[in-house]
Amino acid sequence: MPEKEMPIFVRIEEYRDVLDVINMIKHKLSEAKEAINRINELKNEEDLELERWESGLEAIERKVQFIDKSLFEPESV
Amino acid sequence: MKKGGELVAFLKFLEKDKKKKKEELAPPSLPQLPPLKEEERVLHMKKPLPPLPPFEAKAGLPEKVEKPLFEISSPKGAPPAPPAGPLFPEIKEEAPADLPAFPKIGKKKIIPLKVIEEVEEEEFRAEKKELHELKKRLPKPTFIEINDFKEVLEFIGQIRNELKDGDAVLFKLNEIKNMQDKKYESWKSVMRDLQRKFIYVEKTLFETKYVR
Repeated sequence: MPEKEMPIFVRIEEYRDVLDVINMIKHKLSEAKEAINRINELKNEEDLELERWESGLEAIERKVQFIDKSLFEPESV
Repeated sequence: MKKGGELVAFLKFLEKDKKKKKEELAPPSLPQLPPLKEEERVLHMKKPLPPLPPFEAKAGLPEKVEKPLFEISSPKGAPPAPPAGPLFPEIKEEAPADLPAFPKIGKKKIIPLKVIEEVEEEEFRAEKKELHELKKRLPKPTFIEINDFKEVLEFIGQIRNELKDGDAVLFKLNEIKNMQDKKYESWKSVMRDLQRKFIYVEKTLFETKYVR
């Protein structure tokens, strides 16, 4: 019988241990997935806040330009 | 500087004093002895000793006198001591007749070596049988056939490598987050600075309103 076709057997106690560990790994993986999802959510929130701030800064910039113009170009000296 | 100079001068003075004392304390040199004459030297070296007296065995030695170990002196006026009795009571040679008799010991039975070996072998066989029965009662190990064992092993190796990569990614993310925190801090300080400046500008403009 060639080596590839040889059946491989694992002791049932060890097999059960391996199954338990695999269940634990699956649980940990789902936890890691949840953590990544939450990080993504936070990142999206952060992006949103950054966009808001960006638009706010643009508004401030426009107003500063107006003030600058008004102060440096008075109608009557 | 002056003080230091004074101190050095004082130390030198002390040293001079010490030298003087040493010269005073040194012992005076002794006068030389006259040389010995040749005859006197020979006499000093080879003077014969006087002859010893002849040895006599009993001459001068006192005779041996036995003395008691303790000398007990009775006080004056005390009555004479009674005659001393024997120190220990006499022990009778014969043993008392009411002692119990020794138990009788029968002849020791000698077991032949062959019989001992046979008994031991029988015991050994019985123990072996018992062990065999105990082993029979124990649950037998059960095995499960796994078809894709090699593939499973390969996948485990790949997963381990991917986890290592994940570690590196986490490290990089942490670095990015630290940098982001720093940037947020600087942004915060810029915003505060801007606020202060606007307050100042506002204040200045408000005051100039009432100049007219």
